[in-house]
Amino acid sequence: MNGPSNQAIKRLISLHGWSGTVLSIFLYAVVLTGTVSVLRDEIARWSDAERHIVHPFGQPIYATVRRLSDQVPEAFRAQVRVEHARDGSLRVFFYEKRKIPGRGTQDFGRDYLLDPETHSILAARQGVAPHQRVESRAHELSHFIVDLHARLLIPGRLGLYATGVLGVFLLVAVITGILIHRHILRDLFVTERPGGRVVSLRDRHGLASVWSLPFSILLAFTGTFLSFATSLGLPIVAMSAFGGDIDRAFAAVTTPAKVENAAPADLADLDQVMADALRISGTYPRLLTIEDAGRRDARIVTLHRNGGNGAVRSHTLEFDGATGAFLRDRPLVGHEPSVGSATVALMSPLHFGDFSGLASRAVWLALGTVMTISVVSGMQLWLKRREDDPVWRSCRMMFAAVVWGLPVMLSGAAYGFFLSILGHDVHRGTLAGFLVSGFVVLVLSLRAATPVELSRVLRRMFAWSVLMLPVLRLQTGGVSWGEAILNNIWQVLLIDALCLALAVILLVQQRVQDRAAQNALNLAE
Amino acid sequence: MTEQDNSRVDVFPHLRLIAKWNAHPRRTRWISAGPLGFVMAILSMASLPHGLPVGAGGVDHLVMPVVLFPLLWAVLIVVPVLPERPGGVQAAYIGTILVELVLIVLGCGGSL
Repeated sequence: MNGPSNQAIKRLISLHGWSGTVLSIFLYAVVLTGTVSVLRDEIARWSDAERHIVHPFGQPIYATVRRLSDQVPEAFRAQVRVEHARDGSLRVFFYEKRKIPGRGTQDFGRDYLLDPETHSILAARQGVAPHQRVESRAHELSHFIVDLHARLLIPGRLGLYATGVLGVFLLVAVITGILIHRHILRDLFVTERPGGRVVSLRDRHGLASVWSLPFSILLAFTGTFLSFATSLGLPIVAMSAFGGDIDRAFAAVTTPAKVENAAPADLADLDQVMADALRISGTYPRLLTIEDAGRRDARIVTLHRNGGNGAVRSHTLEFDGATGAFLRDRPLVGHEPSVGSATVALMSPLHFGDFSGLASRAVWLALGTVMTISVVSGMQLWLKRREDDPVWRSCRMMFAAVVWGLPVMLSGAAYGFFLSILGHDVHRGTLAGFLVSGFVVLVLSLRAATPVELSRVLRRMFAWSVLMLPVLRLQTGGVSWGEAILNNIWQVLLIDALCLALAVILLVQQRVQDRAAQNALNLAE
Repeated sequence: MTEQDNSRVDVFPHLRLIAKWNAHPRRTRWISAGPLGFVMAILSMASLPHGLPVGAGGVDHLVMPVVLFPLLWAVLIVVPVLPERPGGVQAAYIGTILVELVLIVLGCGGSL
């Protein structure tokens, strides 16, 4: 079979370069933060290890839900959502479907935030769907990084569209990369030629890209799906197949049909349901919903995280709401297991790599790092080939500022987070740290004479800032290594060790490069 | 155009349009890979629910177009770059868009 012609290869190389170049800065931001996000749970535990984090579903919840149910208007009692909230607290939302002028059908009800250990009320509010934001020490830093990855900090659907488009451009770069690489297997074992020449960069880019190829396809595909599924896909399908009724479309996809039985019945023991769910799936659920509480046809559904009892996908367990009997492992979408439901269920675990604990996430972290190198080396190659062009030469400075500036800004966000722990507003503190360090990067970029000098300054700055992060964590009330070992908070040791290792590698690498440059200068003299 | 092309155009007059597009391959590639590819990918997502099998769970026709959308869009960007004369690809894109529009109109008519 003939491959593409030489002319077609030239056009493909052009498309490959442009698809990576035009949005390369944002693509790099998404890939780098995505790689860091793999450790989001560990970062959350590391950043606030002092607080005793209790799983809210580790305590009995049945009595609490009944107590709160007696306090809400009768109309809100039928539908209940019990959730492990992002700030670590227990969220209980009693609601009904209500038409809101100009906003369609919304979940309207009363929302409670409870202490995860004592179940005492932290906050309560009545309104449309739960939007309460409680200052979250434990998850703020990791959520900031995840938000940057998933939405580039752009609010609403626009952020999802932006990352979705980036995902498509990454897919285009991967497809064209496959078509133009005629020796993929050979490139798996190529070694980088020395000298920092065009061929050296081509070797580096080819090596990183070929090794991360299946992973790039997987992440770009699943990531684009996660960005577009609810922001673009569902509204379009709803418009086409349900006359624009998004609620009906969502219900058709996620809510299985059941035999109606409106006879009154008490709600089953939620603690028993929780114990059964834990036994079946091996994990606590992240969400428990009660549908049509108080009726004979009530259903209790527990939605679990990916992995658990050897499964890649998440479990969605369905129980009889009146008897508490386990009914089935419900597919994530649809009434019965099918090609569509299995494909959708695989999207999240394959993107986040959280289906097999730390082992799978370590693989995702390593391949994400290779993918980041692929994006950076691709851009370096593109710029190297055009270094005679004054326009592209000026882009080298911008690229150097982003490549090392973004890690500095992420580190700055962590500094902002730790410094604001003392002042309690960690959300603003984290954002302020990110923006202030961005401003510093901007000033340094404007003052730097060459891209090489800027890279050198920013790399050193990043290395030292990361080196000092564990110290700052300790100084702002974080647990010591001794306490971490005694209390089995291994996440503290892991992230601290990663910070120290990263800093040492970067500083040693910088020192070696400085010496080589000095030797070359001496020889020249 | 070659003599052989001229004789084909006489038999199939619409080939004249494709030949016109082929005369400006760069512009044709940009239009096909850009706006036409995007519109076709969106319309595929909107029209496939009316054509795909429902599946055992009753949702395959709704979720598979959404799942395939990113891949389809990326492929539609790449395809016009491959042939030397991209007029045929543009014609195929426009033809598919028209078929998809018909599917959507028929599907919406049936569901209303």
